[in-house]
Amino acid sequence: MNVVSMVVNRLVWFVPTVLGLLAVVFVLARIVPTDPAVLAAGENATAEQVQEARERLALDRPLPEQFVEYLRQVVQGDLGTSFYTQQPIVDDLTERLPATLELTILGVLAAGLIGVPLGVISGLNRNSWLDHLLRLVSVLFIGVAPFWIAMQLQLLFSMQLGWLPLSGRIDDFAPEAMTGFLTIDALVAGDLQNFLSALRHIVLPTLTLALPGAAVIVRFTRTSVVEAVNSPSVAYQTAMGLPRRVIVWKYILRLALNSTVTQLGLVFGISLTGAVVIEAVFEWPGLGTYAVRSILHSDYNAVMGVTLCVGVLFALSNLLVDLLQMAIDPRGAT
Amino acid sequence: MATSRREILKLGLLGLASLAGNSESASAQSRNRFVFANSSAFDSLDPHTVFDQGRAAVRFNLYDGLLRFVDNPPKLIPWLAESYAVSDDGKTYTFKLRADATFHDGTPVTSADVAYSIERILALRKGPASFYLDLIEPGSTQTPDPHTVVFNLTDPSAIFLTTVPNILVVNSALVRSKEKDGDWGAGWLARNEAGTGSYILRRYEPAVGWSGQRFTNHFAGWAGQPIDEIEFRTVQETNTRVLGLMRGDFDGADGLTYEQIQRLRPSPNVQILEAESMRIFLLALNNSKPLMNDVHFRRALAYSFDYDGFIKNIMKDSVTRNPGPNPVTIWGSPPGLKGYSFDLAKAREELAQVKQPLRKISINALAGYSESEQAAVLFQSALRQIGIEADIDVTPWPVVASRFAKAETQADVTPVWRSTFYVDPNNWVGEGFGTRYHGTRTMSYYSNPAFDQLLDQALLTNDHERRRELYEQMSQIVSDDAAGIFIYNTRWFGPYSTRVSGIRFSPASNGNDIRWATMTR
Amino acid sequence: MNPLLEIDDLSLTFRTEKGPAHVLDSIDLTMVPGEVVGLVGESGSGKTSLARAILGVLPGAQAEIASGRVRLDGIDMLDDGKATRDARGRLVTFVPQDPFDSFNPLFGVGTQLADIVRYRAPPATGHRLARSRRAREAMILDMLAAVQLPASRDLLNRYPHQLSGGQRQRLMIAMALLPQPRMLIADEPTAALDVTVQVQILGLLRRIAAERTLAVLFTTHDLGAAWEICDRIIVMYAGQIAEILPRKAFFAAARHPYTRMLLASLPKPGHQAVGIPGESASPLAPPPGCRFNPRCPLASQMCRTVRPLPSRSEEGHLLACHHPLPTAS
Repeated sequence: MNVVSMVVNRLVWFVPTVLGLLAVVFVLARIVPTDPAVLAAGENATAEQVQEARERLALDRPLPEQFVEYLRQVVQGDLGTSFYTQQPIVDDLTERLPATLELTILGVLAAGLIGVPLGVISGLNRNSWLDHLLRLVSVLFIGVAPFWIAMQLQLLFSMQLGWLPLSGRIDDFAPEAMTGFLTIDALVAGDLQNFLSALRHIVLPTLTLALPGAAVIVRFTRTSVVEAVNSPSVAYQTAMGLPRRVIVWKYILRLALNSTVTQLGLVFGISLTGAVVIEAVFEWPGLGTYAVRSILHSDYNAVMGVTLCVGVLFALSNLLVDLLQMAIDPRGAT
Repeated sequence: MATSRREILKLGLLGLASLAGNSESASAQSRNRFVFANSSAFDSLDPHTVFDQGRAAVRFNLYDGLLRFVDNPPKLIPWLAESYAVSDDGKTYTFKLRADATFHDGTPVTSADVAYSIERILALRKGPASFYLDLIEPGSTQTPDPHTVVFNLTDPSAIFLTTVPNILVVNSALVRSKEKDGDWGAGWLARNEAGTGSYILRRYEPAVGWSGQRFTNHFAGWAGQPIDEIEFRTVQETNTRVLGLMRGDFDGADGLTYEQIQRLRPSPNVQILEAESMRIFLLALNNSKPLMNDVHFRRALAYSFDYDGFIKNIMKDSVTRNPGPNPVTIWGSPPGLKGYSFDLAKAREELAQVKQPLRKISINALAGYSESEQAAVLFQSALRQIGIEADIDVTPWPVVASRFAKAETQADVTPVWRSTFYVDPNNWVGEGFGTRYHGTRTMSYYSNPAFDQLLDQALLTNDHERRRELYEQMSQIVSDDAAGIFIYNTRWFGPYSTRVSGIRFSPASNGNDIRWATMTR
Repeated sequence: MNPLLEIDDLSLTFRTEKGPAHVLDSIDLTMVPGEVVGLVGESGSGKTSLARAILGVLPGAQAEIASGRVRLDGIDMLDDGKATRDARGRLVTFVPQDPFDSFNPLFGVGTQLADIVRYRAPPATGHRLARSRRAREAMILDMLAAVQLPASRDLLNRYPHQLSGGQRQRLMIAMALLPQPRMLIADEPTAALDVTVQVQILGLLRRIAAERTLAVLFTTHDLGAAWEICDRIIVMYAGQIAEILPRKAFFAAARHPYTRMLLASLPKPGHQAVGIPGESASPLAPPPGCRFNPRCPLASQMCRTVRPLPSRSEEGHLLACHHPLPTAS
C-alpha cells in the first residue's frame, strides 16, 4: 500500500468512527436526567426563557434531528457553549489541549525510553531472574490503577523525599504561551527558572502516565526481541562471528523497534485515557480535569466536545503511527 | 566527539541536580504570598453570575459591596457606603457612598457604578439576581448625586439589607467599554476584573486558578502586616489538598471531610481553625407528592432517622444537632424547640394514622458527598424496620438542583445542605417553606396559608423583635408539620498553615476574606 | 597436504524436553585445503548439526559434546575462547540455506555487507586508509564482480526484499568470501532457488573454491547437486556416517544399502521420484547397532546389536556396513 492510499483509507474510516462515537455520547448525554434546556437557560430563568433555549438548541425536536443539527454545527467548527463555563467549547478545549498534549507526548516518549531498553534486556536474558522480575513488574503496572501509582509517587517523591512538587503545572502562573507547551515556551524564552519549574512539575505526571505504557512496551519489545534473537538473520550473523554488541544494539534492536512502533498507537491510547485520571490527581490543567468537571456538572456539550477531541487525537495518532511505520520499515506497511 | 559527549553529560547532571533541589520556589519564599487550594474551579470571575460558596474568594477579595458581612455571628458593617436610610414605607433605601473609594484603575467610585451593577445583575438573571428580580424594576434605581444611590423596591422587604453585600460594584466605564452585542461585558468580565477589592487580579487561568496583588490604595485602608499576594488554585483532588497542606505548598484549603481534618491535625505545618457555621444538613421532603402530603406520614419519617447515631458514628461528633429549620446559631427559632428524636414506636403510631396506601419512596443522595449518601443508607434501613421501602438514587448536584426546580421532579427525600446566602432566618425557614418560593428557592413544595401569612408579614416589617416572633412561629409550624427533617448544623473547619494568623471567619465568606490575615515570614 | 579440518570421534547430544537426542554418533572427518566435500542425507541425518559444530555455533544451553573434538587449522572449534571466536566468520564462513531470511529485512544489503567487512575482513593491504569507508566499499564492489553481480552502488542501496533469490544468494556468497576464509560451509545453499539458478550458484561455488584454494563443506539432500561440484561425498544416516565416496566412484562404487536406495530414489526421465520406505530413525531412541537396520532389507541379527565401523574398502572409499552390496558392474 502506498502512502496516499493508506492516508485516504484511514480518513475514510475516520469519519464513521467519529460519527459512531459522537452518536453514542449524544445518546448517553440525553439519558442523563438533567434537562439541558434548563441548564442552557441558566439559573433564575423563566419558563419562557427555558422554552426559548429549548427551541434555540432544537431540543424540542426528535433526537435524530437534534443529532443532525449538532453535526451541522460541528462541521462548521462550532461545538456549542459550555453550560458551566459559558465559554465556547472550542475555546475551552484549545486552552487545555496543549497541557494534555505536552503530558501525553512526553508520557509516550518516556514509556518508550523506559520500556524499550528494559524489554531488550528482558528479551536477551530470557527466563533469567531479571526477566522474570521485569515481567512480573510489567504485569503489575498494567494491572494497577494509574491513580494508585500517582499517589504512591506523590507520597515518595513529594512527601517523603521532597524532591518534586505535588501538583500543578508550574509554580506561580505560566509565562506567555507560544506553543502552550510550557517546557518549550520557557526554553525558547530563555527563562531558566520557569523551565526548571515546568520540568519539575511534569516529572511525576509523566512517570505515572509512562509506567503502564512502558509495561506494555516492555512486553511487546521482549517478545519481538526473543523473536529477533531466534530469527535466521541473527543466527547467520552469529555464525559469521559479528560482535554480539553489533548484533544486539544494531540489528536486534532495530527489529524489535519495528514491532514496538506498531504498538505506539495503543500506548498513546492508554496514555490519553490515563491522562484523565492522572490530570485529576496532579491537578494538571488539561482535557482530563476538564472532562471530569464537565461530567460532574452534566455539561453535556463539553463532554461531547472532549470526546470528539480525544477521538480525533486518537485517530490522528494512529495515522501518525502508520506513517511512521511506513517510514521506518523499508518493506512498507504490512 | 568525546569531549562534546562529556559536556552534554555535565549539562544533564547539572539539570538533574537543580531538578532535585528543594522544591519550594524562590518566589514563594521571598514574597508574602498566601496560596489557597480551592476545591471548586474558577471557571468565571464574573461577580454577578458566580454565586456559590465554593468560589466566594473572587467576590470577597477582588470586589466590594456597599455593606459587608464580617465575623461570627455575622455583623453587617458599612463598606463602600458610609451610611444608609430606609423610608417609612420600607420601600426606599438610600445609600451614601464614601468619597475616597477608587477602582483598581484609579477611577473614583460613583453612584452610577452602583446603578450599573444592579442593572447588570438584573439583566444577566444569574447568581444573586434571584434576590432582586421580583423586588427591583430595571431602571428604577436612582443616582441623585455622584455619592448617593437610591433603590426603589416594588414591595417592602425586610431581607433586602442583608442581600446588599451581594451587589458587588463594578467599574461601569471599564465594563461598558468591553461590552459586545449587549452582553453587559459578560464575555470580558468572566476573565477579567473591574472592581475596587482589596486585591487586584494579577493572573487568571480558568484551568488553574487566579492570583491577586494587594491594592494598597484600598479605601478601607490597611492595618498591621497584610498579605501582599494571594493565589487561589483549583485543586479538585481531595488527597492532593491534604498532602499539599502537610507539605506547606498550600496555606489553606476547603472541602475537606472531618476525617481528613483529623488526619491533618498532627502535621506540624497545619493549624485547624474551627467555628460554628450556618449551614444546616436536612432531609428535604417533597411535601406535594401523594403520601408525602400527609403530616402523619412525614412525622413517621421524622421519627425514623437516627439523629444521634448519625452525628456520633458518621460525623464523629464533629457537628451539633440542629432540631429546626434555622441554624441554631441564628435568631428565629423558638427557645427550646425540640424537634424529633429517633423513636420507631412513635413512627409506627404515626404510620397507623396514615389513610393513603403506602408506597415505595425515593431518596436522592448527592454524588460525591459521603454524608449525604450515608444519611440516605441509614434512613433507608430504618424505614425498612417500620415497613417502608425506599430506593436510593445518587446523582451529582446539577441533577439534584434541576429536580428541585419542579414539584413533580423533586425526589420524596433529598439529603442536602442549606448554606448561608444571606444572614437572615428567611434564608432557611422562609425560602425553604414559603409558597412564594416554589420553583425557585424552595426545598419542600410545602404550602400552608397560615405559614405564608406569617412570612408576608415578616418580609414587610423592619421591626426586628416582631420579625423574631414571626420566624419563631414559622419554625414551630414547620417542625410540627415535619415539613423537613433537620439533622445538624455544620461546624466549619479551616485548615491553615501555621504561618497564617488573623483569619476572620464569617458564615458568608467562609474565611475567604483575606484582607484581615497576616503571614509570618 | 596438511589437513585443514580434523574431526575425531565426535558425538553430540541435544537435551530436549523428551530426553537426550543423539544427533551425532562418532563422526570422523578430515578435509584438506581446496577440497569440496558434500554432506548428503535426509533431514534429521545430522548434517546441519555437524556444520554448526564446525562453525562453533551449537546452541550452548542444549548441546552436549559426548566425545570427540573439532579442530580447524589447529584451533579447537568446540572451545569458547578468543581464538575460536576469532576463527568464526574469518577462518571459516558460512552460506546459509535461505538467503532471504538470513538478511535482516530492515537494513540495506550494503550495510550488512559493510559490517561483515568492518568486523570480519582482514584490512585491505596497499590502501593508505585501509580501514576507511571507501576502502571497504572498494572491497565490496570487487567482491560483487567476483560473484558475478553488477558492481554497482545501486545494488548495495537496495533492501533484501528488492532483490531476486539468485542475487541474494550471490550476495551471501560474497559475504562469506569477504573475510577471506580458508573454509566455507554451505548449508543447502540452493534449496530455496530455481533449478536454473541452482546450477549457476553451484558452478560459482566450484569455481571460487578452485580459484581460492578454499575448502568447502556443502550439505545437501540433493545427490545430483553434490555430484556436480564435490570431490568427495559423505552420506550420513541418523547421525552416523554410512559411506564416504570419491566423486568419480559415487554412482559406480556405492555399496551401502542406504546409498543405493538414495541413488534409486533419484528421479529418472519419465518417472516420478520414489521415496525410501520406512521412517528415518529418531535420534531420541536410536536403534542399537547400525541405525539403518530397521529400514534395511539386508539387516541381520548382527546389524541390530553391533555398530559397523567404517572401513576402507579402496582408495578414498569408506564404508560402514556389515553386509555391503557388491559393486555395481
